[in-house]
Amino acid sequence: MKDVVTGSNQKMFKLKFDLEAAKFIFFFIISLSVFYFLSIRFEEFIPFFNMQSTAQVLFFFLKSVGINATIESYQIIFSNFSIEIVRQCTGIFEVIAIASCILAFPSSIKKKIIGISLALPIIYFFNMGRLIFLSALGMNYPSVFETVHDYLLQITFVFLVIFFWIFWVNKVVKSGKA
Amino acid sequence: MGKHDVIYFAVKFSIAAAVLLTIFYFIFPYYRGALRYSIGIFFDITKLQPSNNLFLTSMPYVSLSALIVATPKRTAKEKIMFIILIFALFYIIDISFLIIQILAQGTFIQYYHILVVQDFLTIALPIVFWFLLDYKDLIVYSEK
Repeated sequence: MKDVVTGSNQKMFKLKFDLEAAKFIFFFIISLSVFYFLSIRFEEFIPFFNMQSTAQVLFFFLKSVGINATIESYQIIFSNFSIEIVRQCTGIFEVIAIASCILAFPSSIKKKIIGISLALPIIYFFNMGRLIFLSALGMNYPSVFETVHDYLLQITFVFLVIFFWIFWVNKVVKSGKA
Repeated sequence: MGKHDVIYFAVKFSIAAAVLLTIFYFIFPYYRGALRYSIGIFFDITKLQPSNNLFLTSMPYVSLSALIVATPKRTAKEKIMFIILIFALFYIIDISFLIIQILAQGTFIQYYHILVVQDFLTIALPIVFWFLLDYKDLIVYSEK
């Protein structure tokens, strides 16, 4: 009798557990799709994470660290190669991914706001660091530029999103202060 | 996850990603070759013209595999099995989206398709899969 009750409770718990996970995935994908569509449709209105702003700020940082370059629209031209800032370079999708993880996760509005507010500057400066690193790499080791750009840093971004999300769950959601 | 668990997770992920990237660096020509062969069969059947501008996902299987290796769950044997399954799954995803790219050539879908492959499939899909496979426990931490 006891086993039957325990088994029943476990089954109910599992059902509830899976429902929570399914809800998270559902809201994550909905949020991701909506923000993604909006970010493409209204790209020029997004502060900081648009192509023009990213190109100009990158150019400013490169000059600050002593790298000589010229800027033409979204293109930054170095002595031996050039880079073009496209939508994927702005970090907007990483912002959308983190924001969607946070919004879909069951927690209070205040904790969600804290999470997104912390994520924005972290992603922005991480992305700028990534672009400066790639520029320096392209100038000095052009043969490995494509590999590092296409693969290594994509993985780093996936990790950053998940690491920040775990950090937020541990430090903000679990703390229960906000 | 405690503080040390998170650091341990980060270190394990970095090592796993570095090892898998190195392995895949040597396997990738064969992966591309297998994709090209499969696409070649598709061209033979459909008589469509191949395009030089086809996009692949940027190795989401490596980041997802590294996440699974780094997560303190499952045995080594199960992890290896999952990695093989993930590579097979993303091979099918890459093939499917290559076919959609070929069929969508010259239409407005082509533009969105590139974005979907580079952003959705490369970054969002590993997060969803990892959550489903290994980290549903995160929900336990949430407040209701």
